[in-house]
Amino acid sequence: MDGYLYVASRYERYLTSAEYSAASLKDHHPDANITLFTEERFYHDGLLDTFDIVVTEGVPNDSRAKLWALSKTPYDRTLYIDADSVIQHADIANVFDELGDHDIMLTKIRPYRGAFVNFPGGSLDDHCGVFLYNNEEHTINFMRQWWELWKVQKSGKWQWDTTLYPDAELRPWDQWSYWWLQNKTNHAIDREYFPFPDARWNFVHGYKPEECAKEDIVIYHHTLDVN
Amino acid sequence: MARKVRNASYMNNAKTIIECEFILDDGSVQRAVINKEGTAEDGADNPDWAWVHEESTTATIEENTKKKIIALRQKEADVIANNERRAGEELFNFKLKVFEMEEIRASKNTKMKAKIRRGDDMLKVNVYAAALVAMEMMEPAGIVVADMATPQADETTPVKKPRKKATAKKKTRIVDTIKDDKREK
Repeated sequence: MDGYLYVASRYERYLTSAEYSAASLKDHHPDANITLFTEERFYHDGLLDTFDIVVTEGVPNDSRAKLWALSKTPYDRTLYIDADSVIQHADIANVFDELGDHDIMLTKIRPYRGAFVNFPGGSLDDHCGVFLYNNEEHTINFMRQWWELWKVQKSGKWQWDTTLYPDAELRPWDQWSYWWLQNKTNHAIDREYFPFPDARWNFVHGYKPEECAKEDIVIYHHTLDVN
Repeated sequence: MARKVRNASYMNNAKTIIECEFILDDGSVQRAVINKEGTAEDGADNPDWAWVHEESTTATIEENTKKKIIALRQKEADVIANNERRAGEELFNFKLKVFEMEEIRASKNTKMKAKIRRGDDMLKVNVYAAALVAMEMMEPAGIVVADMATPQADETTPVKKPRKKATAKKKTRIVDTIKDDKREK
């Protein structure tokens, strides 16, 4: 079974946004299987009007709780969607066909959007706000490792060569631990990008319209204001 | 002082005013605006006008003018697009605040909620939100609100089976991150 996964933690606004996003998903794909991971304190019965499964047990109060949740997906193929994204097109129902035999499929970061990308030791190319992944053992293990590495990254216990990998710019981002696992460890999984125009699957606020090559945007990625 | 001209282009449709840059001997650049008619009392044309046309052909000036117009239009389009995107973000975040209102969060009126979600400007979002709050306040008081968004009694509305709250039961095995990888020490 294929399904969509949302995570909402720390701020209630993320939960509101995840509900909003999931409702927009059902507008275009009424039969979608959707799972939400959120903190127990945010739970209310109305969530079950939108989500098929709501998991609260053990969900950490962490800005990257998504990394904890990824390995616990109930689906064979999962589309993780950041809570601040809105579904705009029925092609969302066919997204799983894109994955093929790959383990994970993402879109590319657009440096002009202002993201920190290039550093002496490499570059952060993969946008981790929307991605497909399978439930192969090594893929699920990758997701567990991502969470484990994020915890030591966040705590400061993990130190690295800051001449190659600048600390201040990389430490806040989960893309960094993802990059490390993919490029510096044997946990690496088979990564592919969504085919051009990949931006239609994760059109981040501020992207140039021509990124979609006149095709419809499927997922529009907003910028959430938690205040 | 000798000078050269570059980036000459017409500033008006009548092509009687030119905007250009003078490159002086010392390398400095001066922006200049040249009116064909000049200011001489005898009505003679501005000598700079003829000089610019000697230094730069009419075809080149025309081409520069087209480029400037295209660049200007693109800049205007970018400003409009940026404003629209910014307004879109403000609208999205405003809707989320609306959905956090207790009356709206607790409401089971999915049709009105969808109308709020699909509202493409602040006015529509405000109107639908206000209407939904009013409907929610009237209902406990026994006032029946018949509208296009609420299913009527004689309509067959499929009853949604309540779903069970699920929790993750699967035990997960955490592989040792340090031993199992080849990270740089």
